Amino acid sequence: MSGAEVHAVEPLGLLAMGDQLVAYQCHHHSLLLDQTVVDALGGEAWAVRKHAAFESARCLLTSLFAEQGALRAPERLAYASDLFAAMGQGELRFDVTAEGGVVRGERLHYGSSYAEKYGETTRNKSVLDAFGAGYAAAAASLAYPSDWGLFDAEETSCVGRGDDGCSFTLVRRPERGRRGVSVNRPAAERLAREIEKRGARRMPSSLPRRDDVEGLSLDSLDVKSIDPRVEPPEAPEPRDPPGSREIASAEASLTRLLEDASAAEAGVMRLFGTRVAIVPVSYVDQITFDTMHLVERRTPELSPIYAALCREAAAMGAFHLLGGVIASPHWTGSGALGRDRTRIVYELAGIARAVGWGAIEVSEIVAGKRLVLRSRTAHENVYYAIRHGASMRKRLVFLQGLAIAMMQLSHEVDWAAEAPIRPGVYAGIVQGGPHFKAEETRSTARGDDACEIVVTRV
Amino acid sequence: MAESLSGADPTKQTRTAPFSGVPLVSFEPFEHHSSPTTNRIPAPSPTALAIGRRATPPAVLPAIEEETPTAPATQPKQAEPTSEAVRPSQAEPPHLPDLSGVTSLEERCDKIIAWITSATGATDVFIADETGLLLAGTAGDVEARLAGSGSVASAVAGLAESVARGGSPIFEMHLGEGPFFQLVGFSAGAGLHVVGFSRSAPLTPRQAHAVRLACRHALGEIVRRTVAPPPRVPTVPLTDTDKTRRLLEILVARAPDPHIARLRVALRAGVTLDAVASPDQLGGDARVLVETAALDILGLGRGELRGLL
Repeated sequence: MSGAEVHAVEPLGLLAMGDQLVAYQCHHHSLLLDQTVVDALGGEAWAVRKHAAFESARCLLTSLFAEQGALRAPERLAYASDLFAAMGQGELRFDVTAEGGVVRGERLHYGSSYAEKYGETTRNKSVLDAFGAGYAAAAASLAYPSDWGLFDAEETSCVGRGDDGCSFTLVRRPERGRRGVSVNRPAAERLAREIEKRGARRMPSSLPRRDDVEGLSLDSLDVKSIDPRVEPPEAPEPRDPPGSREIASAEASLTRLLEDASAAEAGVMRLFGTRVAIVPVSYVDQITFDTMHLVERRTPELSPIYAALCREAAAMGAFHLLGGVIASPHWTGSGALGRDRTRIVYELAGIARAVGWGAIEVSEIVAGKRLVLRSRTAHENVYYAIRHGASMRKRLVFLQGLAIAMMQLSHEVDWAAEAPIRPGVYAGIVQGGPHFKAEETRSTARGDDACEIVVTRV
Repeated sequence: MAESLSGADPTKQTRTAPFSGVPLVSFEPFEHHSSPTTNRIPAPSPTALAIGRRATPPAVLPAIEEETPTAPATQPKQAEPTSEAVRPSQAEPPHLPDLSGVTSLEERCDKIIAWITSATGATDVFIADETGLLLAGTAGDVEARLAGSGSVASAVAGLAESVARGGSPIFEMHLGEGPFFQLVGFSAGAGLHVVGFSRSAPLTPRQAHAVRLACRHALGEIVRRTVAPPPRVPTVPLTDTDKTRRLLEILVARAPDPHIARLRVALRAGVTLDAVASPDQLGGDARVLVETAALDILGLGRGELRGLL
């Protein structure tokens, strides 16, 4: 992959390219999450998404350029183009100089996926490839660095809008880019050690008040909420969580499948019945949480609606990607035979780890009624802790959606059917309203030693 | 609109050789009002009699000179060849096609389109209904042109309703600076239809009315027969709340991912789910926001709302 490889960040259940965290996502999740941000912010959504794409792409490319050594501007652009295609995001062709230029896109993940999924039924009036725009601008800014400013990209045509192709115009803007804290591998590992230590300590029975912790870092939270005189209890005998062996086996199996996967079309990864792309965690979580904060500040009464749509995006994406894996003829787990629905849940957890969604564990499962997921390091709580610190609100919308999808997949899909995850199956499951609800009972952002999601039947 | 043209000149009624009620208008650019030789009306034919039985045409439509941008208004009009000039043999309007015994809607439309093409020299002739659904013909870049034509027809129908409740929505319009895209609206059966075509010079209103009447003859009876309108009952106008509720029902039926359609409307419009569930509690501004959000999700413009309801 352009000299860049996807590395597992063990044992966190995360993936990295260079030092940046990434994850596999399918087009169902990508489209619905972007659409939700647009629904929430209207005209501001393009800027929010493009800024997140620029930041995440600049961090990713900076890290990878450093590994490559000295590269001239055209080589940097060529590398960026190859990387974009290898990530399954489509093809970018740069026609850019230090003054600016044009970038043409082919088969871009967002625009093309939209045209494929909704193009025949819905007319879309807006351009869709904010990630492509931010990525192109970041690549050009790194290829032609200048004290005067950074490149900004606008998408001038988009196949998702019915245009013949996608293209971007790049111009240099005098303003300096805002740069947040980098959510990279070292920061994630540091955080994981911190959470691990927290788990070994005795936590106070009552949580600190929100006013005490909102806006403070995790370090501050620890100092404030944990009595340092309390000695850590004796470490209990380590005990493997239920299904550990199945989870590890599934993770290893999918990792092998992903390593062997090859792109049939340039820039496109069609895997397990979906179009899959490698997406920087910073992009996905930044647009999720920046929008969440804006909604909370402006129209708090709409926060539950926004959260519900983010949760749905995660559930829809997980249903199709994870379910597609198990339904794949390449999958050899016994879950594929439909014999053991509990085992399917374990396999789904392993698959979620392999695609970089976090160290997902299954704490409890009551067939068809209750599922308890647990994770110390899912990509969203890692991102939130590094970028924003502590929060008393329930924010783990991706994990909630994942947990619901796992229940749907394990108990509402006919795995004996010839094509269990065929088009229309998901719509059939959700059309009568939700069958499961997810409750976030614990979160590292609230000072707990792990995140916990409890799913129950409605 | 066009009715005002129909009974215009009673003095010429005496010269009318009725085409069994079907008005015939020369589409030639070189004809003149005062020339009796160029205003000849073909002898009636049995076919035309059959077709024209239900017509309520103008008593006479004089041959109308086609406006050509180059002809000075003060000079006497002459038979100058223009881009629309046709062969001498076409100086007389062609006979209307024989539709007796033709029961297929498509076939009738095709015949009348052939007649329009022959009589007017127009190209890309098509007939569509108010929603932009193609009944016959070709419309060049079909989708966009049909969708736009449907939008225009729908908007005109709304406008006609606002001008006078129950008023006639027939209309004609042309677009461009040459060649012209012309759209003629006509009522047939229960709804408004349009006939569209391209031409280097637009038809005058009277000529357009002749095309309208021809189309009405072709479609009127059969549309009435095949697409029987619902029995007329006293219509109670929809209230704003009813419209919003209906739109939301359509949204859930047609939106992509319908299970989250109401959530999306609420988020886009900035109102709570309870408000979306009870449109009667929405204020005027909130109602507009909700409707706009629903239309956006469906990919429709506000002008298409009436056609949707």
